[in-house]
Amino acid sequence: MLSYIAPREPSMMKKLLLALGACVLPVSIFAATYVVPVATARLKDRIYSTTLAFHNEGSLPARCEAIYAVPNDPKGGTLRATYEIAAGGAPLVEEDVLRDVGAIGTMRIVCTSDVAIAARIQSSSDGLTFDEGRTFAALREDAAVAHGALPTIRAFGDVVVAEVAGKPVTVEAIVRDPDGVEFGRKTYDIPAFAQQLVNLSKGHAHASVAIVDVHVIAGDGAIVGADETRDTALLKMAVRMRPERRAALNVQAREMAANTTSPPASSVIRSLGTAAFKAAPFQDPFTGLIFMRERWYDPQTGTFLSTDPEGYADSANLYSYCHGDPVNCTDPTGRLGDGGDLRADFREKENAERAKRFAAWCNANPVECRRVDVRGAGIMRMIGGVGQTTAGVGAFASSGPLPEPVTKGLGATAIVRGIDNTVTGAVELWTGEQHDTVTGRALYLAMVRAGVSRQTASRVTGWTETGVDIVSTVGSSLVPGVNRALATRVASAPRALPGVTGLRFGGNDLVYGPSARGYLRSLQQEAGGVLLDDLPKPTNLTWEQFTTRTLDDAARSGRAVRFDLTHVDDLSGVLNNTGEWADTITGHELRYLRANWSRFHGIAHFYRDGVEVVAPWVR
Amino acid sequence: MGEVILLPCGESTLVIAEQTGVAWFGCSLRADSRDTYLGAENRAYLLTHLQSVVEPEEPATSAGVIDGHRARWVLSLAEVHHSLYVRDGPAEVRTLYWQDRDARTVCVSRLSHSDVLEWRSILDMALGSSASLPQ
Repeated sequence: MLSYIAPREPSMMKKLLLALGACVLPVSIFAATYVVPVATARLKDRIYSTTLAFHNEGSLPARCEAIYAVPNDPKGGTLRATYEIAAGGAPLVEEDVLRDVGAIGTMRIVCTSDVAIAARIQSSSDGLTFDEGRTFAALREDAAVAHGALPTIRAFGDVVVAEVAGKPVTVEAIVRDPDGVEFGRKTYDIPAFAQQLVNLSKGHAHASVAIVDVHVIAGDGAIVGADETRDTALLKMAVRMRPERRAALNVQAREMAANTTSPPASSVIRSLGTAAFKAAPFQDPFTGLIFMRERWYDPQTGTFLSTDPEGYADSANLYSYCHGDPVNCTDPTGRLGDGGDLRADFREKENAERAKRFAAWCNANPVECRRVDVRGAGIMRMIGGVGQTTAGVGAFASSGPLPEPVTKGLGATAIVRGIDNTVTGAVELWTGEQHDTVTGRALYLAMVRAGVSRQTASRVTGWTETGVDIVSTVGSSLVPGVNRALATRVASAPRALPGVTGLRFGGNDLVYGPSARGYLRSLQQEAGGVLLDDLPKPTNLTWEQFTTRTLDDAARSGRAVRFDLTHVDDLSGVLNNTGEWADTITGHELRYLRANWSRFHGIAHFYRDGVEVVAPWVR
Repeated sequence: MGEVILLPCGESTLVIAEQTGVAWFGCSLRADSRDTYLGAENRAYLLTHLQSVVEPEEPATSAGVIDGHRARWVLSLAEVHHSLYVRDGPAEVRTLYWQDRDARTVCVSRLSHSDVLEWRSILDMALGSSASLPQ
């Protein structure tokens, strides 16, 4: 349960006890401290919220305490929540963390043992339905960088830098390529409890891994960095908050507002539906405007009334990044928001500089320049030729519903043209002189001999070669896929399971066997019949009695029993009622069938790997 | 971790979590931060059968008596073979009974009117999204 704690000055006795405790218990009872970014607010027509997921992979239960330091609270208050995470079980998902109090910044999470933690900052348009989100892996706090403490945090790809100590801080980000070549550096002024997303990996052509080093260069704060992950695990989770829980949080938020002199952003945020940058005292009672970070925000229009005098309108925190849409927006060019994408900026500059130098060299050395040009084109022709040949081989080898002359003809054409292009490209690369392909040259000569002018023959040859290359390459690439799709449709077969295709049961047949993590259900869906799970079980029967009675009914009525043995482990142990699988329902069923085989002979059929086999006790 | 669907069950929560495999989902009952594993089935089976808790077929057929009340069968789960029964009413209230493989009632939960509404909404959403989820 979330609770607000405003700290008080400790008494002398308490100070003494704390000091003693620090001496006697130098090791914290908590094993790990993590920091995750959080953001919960409404901005115009979008609502942002944070979901936390805990997963305890250990063998003992774990306890985690989440602590959020409330910005703008002169008392330095915190919000705390405690979570118990079962060992090795399903992940504990805490939805809409801090939603009703409004929060932005980071949350510190202290756990008694190693617990995997992920935070998702998500957006929705109605507060209920999940639209988009980004998932962040938690960062161990011991990776935090305090003022002046080098070395730097190193991250690959996107990185979040967030101030956590409650004081403004300036950080510097240095971006390098995987070889260590520096592309540039940039400083960010981050106000208290704010975040900056430095986007490096998405949206530009030079998509190799970028390295970003971040360190503090001014201020007394601290920063943390967290590699952003594109993990979709959290994205699938339901994002509906139970009504009673939402109501409880609202009550709690109201109590906090009433009982504290400086509540965390509360009723104003909720009633006006504005971003949670400032607490209640910053609303003007006459105009209804809200004072946010040196600017007035109009909740009626959803806009600021002035530009940001501090100049960090587009740099201070997650919301100002990409004009307030951090979840959906990325900033590959660095022009939308703060220019976080240093890597793309410097790539662009570098490319422009290189093009300029090359143009100057070409003017001075036209012959060599031409050779370089031809060699470049030769390389491209070689690459295209190899791809064309590969596509042609695929089409030639493909078999299926498409007519064979089509697939073989396309494949052969692509192979011939691919080899021709590859060889010609290699010659151009070697000599630096332009060459015609063999097929192109033959076509040109044939046309000239037929009386076509050289100019027209050259033009038609070019068009023909280009057209044949496009048609044969694209066609050959599509042929295998089209054949597969058509084959699937022709067979009208559902998703095939290994070794199962071909089995067909009667719609009323009973399908037995180990569930094998869904295998038996898939078999039943493909081949037909019903599982015991599909039949209503009377309340007064145990599962063993239920399965026995169903088998007896089948023996009486002649209803077929299809028993799948594919995933029966230790069959002899099961039949002899020994070993770890003896006490399973499947074991009981098999032994019952064997004991009553005279009644089930001809009714019960056995299968393994999609093939009917004799009963395991029949020689 | 895959898809997770949470359904309120009075003081507890029914957690339906995707496991490895093809659309295979485990069911647990979470109460006081403790999970009780109930078994597993595929996604379509679970969602359609759970929907019958709040949208009963007419006429509802009784599967027997639990705690002196007539209850109808909802589903049975593979692996550990728990079964779910429901008693309808009064009004929109539902009482859920989980039985283990030995027909012992291991958990009784009461769905309030708001729980029933939430079940409808979550299951409708989950069933509606089936087409776009990996099978």
